[in-house]
Amino acid sequence: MDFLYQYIVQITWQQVVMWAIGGLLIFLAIKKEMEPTLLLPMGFGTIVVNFPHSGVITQGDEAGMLDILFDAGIANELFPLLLFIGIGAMIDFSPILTNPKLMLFGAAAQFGIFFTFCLASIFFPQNDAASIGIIGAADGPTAIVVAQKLNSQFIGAIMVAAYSYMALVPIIQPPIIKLLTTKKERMIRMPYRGAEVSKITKILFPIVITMVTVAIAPSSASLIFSLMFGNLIRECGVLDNLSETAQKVLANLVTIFLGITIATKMEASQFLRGETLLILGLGLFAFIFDTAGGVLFAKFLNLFSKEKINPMIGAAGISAFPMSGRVVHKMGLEEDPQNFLLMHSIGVNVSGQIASVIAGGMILNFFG
Amino acid sequence: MEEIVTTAVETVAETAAETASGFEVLFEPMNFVSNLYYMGTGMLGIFIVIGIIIGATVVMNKLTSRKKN
Repeated sequence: MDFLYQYIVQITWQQVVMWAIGGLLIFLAIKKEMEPTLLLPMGFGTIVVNFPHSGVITQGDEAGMLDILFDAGIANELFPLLLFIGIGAMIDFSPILTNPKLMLFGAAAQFGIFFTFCLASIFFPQNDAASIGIIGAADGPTAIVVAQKLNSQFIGAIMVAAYSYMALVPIIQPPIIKLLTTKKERMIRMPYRGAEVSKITKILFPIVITMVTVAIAPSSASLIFSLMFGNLIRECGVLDNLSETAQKVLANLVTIFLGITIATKMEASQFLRGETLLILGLGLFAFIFDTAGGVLFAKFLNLFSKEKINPMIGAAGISAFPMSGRVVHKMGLEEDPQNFLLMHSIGVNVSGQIASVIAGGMILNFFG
Repeated sequence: MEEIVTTAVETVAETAAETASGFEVLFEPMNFVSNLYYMGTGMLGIFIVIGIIIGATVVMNKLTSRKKN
């Protein structure tokens, strides 16, 4: 009868803790609806990889299903890049095409990435510190690609931090924004002057952005190309079926594989380490300083501009699309029910998406 | 049965040892200062790229906008 319990007796308390973490991720996904498309498969995967001799991960010569998926889609960065095609197809860049200056806030809100990198470098080697800093990109695919290219050993913790904090944007950002702004500043109204954007501009935009970015930060080529290719098939007007497939089928399919595959890095021996707590703390710093960077930059511009900017929109440059844009809009309405910041905040939000890819490219230029 | 218990004890001991030795962080405060260079150049780089993109967008908008009567 030994065969019935020979593996059960090998279960360690660390593995039981990982089951609890997996359960927590599933709870957050279902009950709190926090990034359920990723946290649910990650949670379930975490439970199943934390059994002795679990066959879903490679054991000796016997290849496990999740490791095969990892080698096929994450080790070579294919899954996050395919996901980026879907994300690109979902994004409407019209708000920044009508008001290009909004893109400056997207740039400013990448401050948290570099500041956190400097902080993390106190405790970690440069490649790991840079991978931890990129949690502040608030953008899963970029975080995976950078951490994988830099060969970080903490990719599991980095992914959990990135996706958890993205889901927690409505909780993390408001106190920081309130701390850095006065009520008067939060009540600044910004009238939206919607201008017509020609179809040819919408088509040229992804092409031009890709060319400029690749010329300056070639390491970000695959990221920016995937994002902008998705956007090009959306805007060209002759590939509606492909656009719809990229937005729904492709994005959903890749997300399923991405979530369970990341779970291969959630084994107790890799995840249950002191470093993980430190990484979660540093990831939170990254989100806080990204938010602060955007808000303070808007306040700085207000010193020189005649037409005042509501500094809250700077916080939407954090990327986390579209949660961050909505948070800022909601905060504006709380201060003044007639203050509609949505178009501005969403514009800053999509520019954050572009800027976070450029930041990833810069990091790879430095350390890749 | 004895073999299984021995294996279990060994597995627990190995995992505990791995976990205990797992916390291997550095403490090099001067790294913060030396890496500020990357923060400065990185942020400058992002602003330059975004600046070029803004310029290109403005030009595209001007070239493709319909002339008003």
